[in-house]
Amino acid sequence: MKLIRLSSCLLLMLLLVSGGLMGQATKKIKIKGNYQDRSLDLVLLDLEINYRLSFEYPESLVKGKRITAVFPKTNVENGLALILLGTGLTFEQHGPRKIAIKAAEAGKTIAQAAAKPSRQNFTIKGVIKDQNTGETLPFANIMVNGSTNGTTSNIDGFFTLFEVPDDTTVLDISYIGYRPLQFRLTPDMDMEKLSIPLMDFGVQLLEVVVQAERKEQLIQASTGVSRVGISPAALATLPSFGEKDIFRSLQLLPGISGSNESSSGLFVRGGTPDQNLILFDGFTVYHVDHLFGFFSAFNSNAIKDVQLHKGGFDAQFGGRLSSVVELTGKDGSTERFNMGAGLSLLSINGFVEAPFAAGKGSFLVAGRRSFQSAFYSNIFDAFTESNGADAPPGPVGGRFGLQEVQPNSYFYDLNAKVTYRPTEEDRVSVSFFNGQDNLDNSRNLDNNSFGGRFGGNLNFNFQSNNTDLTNWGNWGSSAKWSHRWSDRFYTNANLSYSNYYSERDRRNETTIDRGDSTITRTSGNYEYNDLKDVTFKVDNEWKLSRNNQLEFGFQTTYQDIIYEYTQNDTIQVLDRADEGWTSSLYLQDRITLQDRLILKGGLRASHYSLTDQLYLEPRFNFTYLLDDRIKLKGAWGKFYQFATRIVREDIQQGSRDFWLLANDQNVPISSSYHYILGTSLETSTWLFDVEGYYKTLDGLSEYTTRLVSSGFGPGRSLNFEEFFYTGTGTAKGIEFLLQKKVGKFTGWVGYTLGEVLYDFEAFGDEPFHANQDQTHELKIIGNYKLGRWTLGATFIYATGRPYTAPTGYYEVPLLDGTTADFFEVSDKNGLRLPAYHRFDISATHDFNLGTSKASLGLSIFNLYNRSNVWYKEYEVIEGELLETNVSLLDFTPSLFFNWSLH
Amino acid sequence: MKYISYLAFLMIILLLSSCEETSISSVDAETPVVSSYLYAGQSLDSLRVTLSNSYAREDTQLLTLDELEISITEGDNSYRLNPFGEGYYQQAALIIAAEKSYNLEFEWRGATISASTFVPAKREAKLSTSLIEMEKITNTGGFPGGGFTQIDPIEISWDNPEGDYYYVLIENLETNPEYVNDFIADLEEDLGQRFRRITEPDITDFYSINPRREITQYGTHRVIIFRVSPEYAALYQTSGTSSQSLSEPPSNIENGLGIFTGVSSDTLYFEVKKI
Repeated sequence: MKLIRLSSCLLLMLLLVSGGLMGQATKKIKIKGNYQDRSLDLVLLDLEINYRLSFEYPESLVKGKRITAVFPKTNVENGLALILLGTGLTFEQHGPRKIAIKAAEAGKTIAQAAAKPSRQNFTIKGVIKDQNTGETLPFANIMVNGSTNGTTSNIDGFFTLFEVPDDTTVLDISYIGYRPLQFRLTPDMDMEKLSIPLMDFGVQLLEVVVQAERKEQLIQASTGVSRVGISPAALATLPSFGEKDIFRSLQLLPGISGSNESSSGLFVRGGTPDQNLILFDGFTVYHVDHLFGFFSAFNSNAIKDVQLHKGGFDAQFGGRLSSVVELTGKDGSTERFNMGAGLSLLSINGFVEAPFAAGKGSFLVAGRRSFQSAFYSNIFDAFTESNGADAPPGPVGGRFGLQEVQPNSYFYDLNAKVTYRPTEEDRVSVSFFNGQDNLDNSRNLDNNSFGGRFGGNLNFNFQSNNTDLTNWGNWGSSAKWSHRWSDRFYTNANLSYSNYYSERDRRNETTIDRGDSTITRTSGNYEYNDLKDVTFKVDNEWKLSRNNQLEFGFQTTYQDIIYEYTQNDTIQVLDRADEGWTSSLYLQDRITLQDRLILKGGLRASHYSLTDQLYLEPRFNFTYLLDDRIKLKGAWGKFYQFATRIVREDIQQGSRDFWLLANDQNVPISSSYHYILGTSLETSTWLFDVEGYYKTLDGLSEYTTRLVSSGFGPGRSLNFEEFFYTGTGTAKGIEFLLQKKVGKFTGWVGYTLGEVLYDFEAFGDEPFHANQDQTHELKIIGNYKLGRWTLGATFIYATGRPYTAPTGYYEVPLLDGTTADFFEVSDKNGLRLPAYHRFDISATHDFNLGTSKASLGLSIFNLYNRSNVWYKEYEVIEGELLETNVSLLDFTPSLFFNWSLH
Repeated sequence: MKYISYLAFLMIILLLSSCEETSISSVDAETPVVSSYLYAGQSLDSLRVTLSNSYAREDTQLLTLDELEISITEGDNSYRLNPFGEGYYQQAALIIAAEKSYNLEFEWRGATISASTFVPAKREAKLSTSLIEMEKITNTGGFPGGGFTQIDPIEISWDNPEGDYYYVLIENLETNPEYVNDFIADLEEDLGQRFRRITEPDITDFYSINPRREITQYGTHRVIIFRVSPEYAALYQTSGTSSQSLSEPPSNIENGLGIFTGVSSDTLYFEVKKI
């Protein structure tokens, strides 16, 4: 056997000058390890240089082996045991500082070889962190290697693991977007304050060697019933439409519609976007759209974790019928100052993060703003032209002074978060979010607009302000305090404020100033919706034992919603001001039986002030591990929703939506039952997951100004409250997910078969398919790693959505002598648009700019330029029906460039 | 054990996969369309019933219903309408009174088609001026030196405490009206057509017209202020032309389509004089 010595000249010199130390036993040498996915020979070289050790081994034994080992200062024996864990190798001491590496004997693992445990069956406490930034990682899995004993880190990254066999146990740590880690406990570690670092996939490795097995997952779909985690860090590798977007990528999952390009809202299992509870650092976000819905309001640079509950969610969450999206903002690096910037064809973004108070505190500020580019205008025009928003409103127009209107439009968002850890057991953080969209189509006319034709008369001035302003946005803020009372009891208190506002001002104000008098007249309409939400909640986790965990808490929410709709400045069509308190208590128990059956039972009780009633929401869910690969799972629960978003259909000016508080008189409180049953088969490489769902929907509301039925008789009045139509519905479906989790090629295939039926008395006796109903939806998502390149592709196929079509027409003469044409329509949503499909591709290149990191990406949206029909337009020309298909976005390439200091 | 696990896994998939299909139907029926306006103070001289034109039919000819037994009732009074061809019906004895309710009813193919309306009272309107004087702008003489004299807007106002719908019709009554601006006359494709402006029904109590910018012709102009019912205003809130928004067309006819509504109006005049 040919032996080679791995030692450098430097090492030899060191060994020579420090010969007096050679006699000491290796036991006195303490080594420290922080090796993430490094080749073993380089690790050994590193040890030789830093600790003056000398290794002997056959090259063939070490070649191609890569290891991950992270451990604090420990003796050489323990350290090497960790380094060689899982390599099939062991070591033998051949003299002071001289160690031979050899193949392990069959049946004897390195763990057994080196470990001398000092404690058995004990509890460990710790925190999971990003190695690079010190950011704590929520919802990471911590498992005892080779057993089903495991736990999950909480929202602040803390975990407690009971019944750890001994203090040399190996823990398997995994978190989406991060390299999985085998972390070996050593007796000299502080088991009360373990800090386990994970390395994210974005970190450049020193070597450019491609590892054969990289566990880079974009989604983690196997953590619970109807629950999916998403890695915001890994999103950049997916094809995108100009910007990487969290909500757009959620739309690639089974059960969530992926064909609604014009809305970043989520249609989860037949639900509508307003039925989703969107929580950002604990505050509720009521509107998630930027740029008419082509982008979501969340900047993925500011978000570290996304958890989606597609149904049957825990008693901790309430107030929505369909789903929960929990977004956790980044705390900012506790390790070092970092900054970054990005540019796409649509927007510019940047972030700054830094620690303070010696790493006890950290902050992060991230912002994004769109700019007027050809790319932006393309999307803008696609939306506004089809809705006629650029048509000048109001009666004034006239023959003179017509002006070209250059709309001024942009969106921005800003995130800021400060976190401070006064003690090991406490965390305080303040998070802030503001995002806004602004569209200004206004024009102003005055004397000068007419080329001075009025110039001769100095006694007169007139000014016409034609306002056409649409803006909407969110303000949100939360202050959170978390405290770990003991290794069993954890409390999280959160005070939050959220404000959503939407304003549509299409008014024309004419001011005539004659010197002695001023006349002001206003026409047009004005719409304003303002929602304020102040919430205080306390969530507690109490681990009674390894197999029994209680979660309980309370939440009280004050909501104040204003909606006004004014015509001509004088007549208020709708003017609602609702305020209400919703106070809830919840209790949930999670019991594990024989390490196989996990049962969660909970109850949420809410008091709603507008009806002064108590609403009980029982929830139940289970997971049964048939064996180490196959899981059965199910959930059942009742869900209530008190704040409802109403869509006000307005054909000429585009539909608008607004939030209202239900009062159970004209706007009913909606409720839903979820029934979920599923199974999954998971190997180390593959996941096959199937879930079926059935949901009942009660108290659905629809609002319309068209089916007019006013009061009657001399005392008649226009009672707009009558225009709320209520109904019921059902949603059912089955979702399949086949995911390849590891390797150069990763991705998934998702298929959903679903149906959503609504039953509204006002629309006929028979149930009809809801607008969001889609029978089939197939999504194929693939990612291929090629060195520093990542290639991505997505394909989506979906059954066309239902629509209502004209079946005939008729004319009605009007009082002014003209006639109006009307369509007689089919049954509501009686027809279907053609199928939707598209194929997107992307390529991302990661590289270093000096010591900083950069990535450059190209995305092509709708590669084969499919004309997907958004909706149809109809016209009657001489009795013939002319049908025009209005299409969604066509072939669109886009570029992005991102840079960060670290 | 492993086989049992796989079997259970497959069983659940099969169980979940057993979904049934539902079919969607679409109806292409023809429906009676009523067009009727009840003017306060006038007799009922024209109510028309036609059939909607289904796209399933080959031709586009308008079909009318002439043999219906149509009755209109007001309180205890009932009137039978007389057909006079082309789908039109009338009843000279029925004089429409303001602030009364009228009910329409007839049978067609076994269904009762009905509608009700309330005739609003006339609301007196005011004009801010009845005479306007404007210089003529000629394409030979150019603009008058020193600009134009400014003309106050013509303001039409009325009371609307109920928040009812009103709309305004302004029209030139001259047979061959003269244009204020020759440049505009040159642009007019159909020269000699009278100036006419109609607003849409709106919940409002005024209308203002800027003579210099909006009035193009000299002569006598008539202003009619219509007070209409919400069911009429609904006709202007179109039922949409896109599949996203298409819904049942606005109509106050039960089991039918169209309009049966009461109207009242006030008429005023103003003069546009050349200086």
